[in-house]
Amino acid sequence: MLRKYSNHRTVSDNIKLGGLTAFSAGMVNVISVIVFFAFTSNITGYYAVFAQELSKGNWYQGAVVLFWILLFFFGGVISNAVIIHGKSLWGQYVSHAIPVVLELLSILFVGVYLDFFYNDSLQETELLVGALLFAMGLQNGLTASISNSVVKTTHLTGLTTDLAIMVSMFTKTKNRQNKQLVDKFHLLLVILFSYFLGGLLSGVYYFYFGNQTFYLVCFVLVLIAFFDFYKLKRVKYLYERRARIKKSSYSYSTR
Amino acid sequence: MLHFKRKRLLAITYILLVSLLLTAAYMVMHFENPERLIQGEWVETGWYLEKTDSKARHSEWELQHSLREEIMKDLELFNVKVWEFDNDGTIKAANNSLNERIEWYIRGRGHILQLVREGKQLESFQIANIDRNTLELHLNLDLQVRGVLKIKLERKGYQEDYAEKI
Repeated sequence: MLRKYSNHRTVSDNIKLGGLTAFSAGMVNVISVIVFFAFTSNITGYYAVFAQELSKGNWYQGAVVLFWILLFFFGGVISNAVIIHGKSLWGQYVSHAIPVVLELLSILFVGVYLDFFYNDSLQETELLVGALLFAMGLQNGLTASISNSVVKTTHLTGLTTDLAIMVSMFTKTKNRQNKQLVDKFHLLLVILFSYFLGGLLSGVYYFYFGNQTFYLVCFVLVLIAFFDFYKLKRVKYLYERRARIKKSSYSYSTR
Repeated sequence: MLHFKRKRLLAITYILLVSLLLTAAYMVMHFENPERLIQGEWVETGWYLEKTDSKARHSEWELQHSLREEIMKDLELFNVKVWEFDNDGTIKAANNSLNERIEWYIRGRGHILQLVREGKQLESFQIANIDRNTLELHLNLDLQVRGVLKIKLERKGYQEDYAEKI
């Protein structure tokens, strides 16, 4: 899911990555709206809000929105920088997993801060929302970068547009039989429903467990980061076991 | 030569972006924010519906008096016309008529005023405008046809200060 890059990725890789990351993005967005009254998985609206606040002369609110947009931006910058520079240093899988781990740490920081240090002040709220936007920037940067911009999971405006285009394209038989188009359609649907389910689960979970929802998001991110680690270890184990069996059967036959 | 120029352009872009981030962070940390601005006593100057009956425009306040009572029947606080936002995070009636402890919080980017009683949200208003002397709150009504309800307030003593200055 994480270790492959660009065109080497299969549809299944993209569906797993898209599904799980959209699920976590949906969770983060809903919980941030509940706790902080602010969206954190998308920034399209913030550009409009930024312009609106400046036009009203609300410099403080404008600065807050700019701060959030830039944190999302730098999340994407760091994510891609780690991917392109880290490959030669740590290998492909590790360099792809680092942004997920950084995202996890950001969300964990928000959860721990809310549990132990939060005084409900505006300044704290703004910094914590910033941390979540940074995390979403990291995630969006990662998914878009390693999937060659096929998978984008933190906002659904473009995705809904793509889905609408595809639905209209499927009115032609030729397009319905085009495997590439059908695969993309499935990927978009998975992302859409995962995002929605993540949001739904997050809302219900928050109702019962409060801020611990942030730890649940961290658990989903652990699954994303270590899924390939487990797969690699398992492949290695199976390979070694097969080699051992081959070796022992060879020595037995030569006796 | 072109390569050098591009490199310099890139460096300027990086510096600009980091400076923007640092400036925004500095403003967030040190500028006067709505949480500090709202502290103190505010006097209601009017309640306005976004969409009123055209016939009744001349007596807007009178028209809305009954509506005000209806909306705020659960909010003892609003039966007084002076709101006092204390710096300990509680809201007080100026004549001490409030028996319960109501807490106020500023949420979002400083655009939401949330009132909480015993850990449960009592009401949330959108702060449409706030400066040292004026405050405008918007409340979304269930009456969609009427749009939002605007509550305008002025800092207590603002009119007297203004008159004195003149």
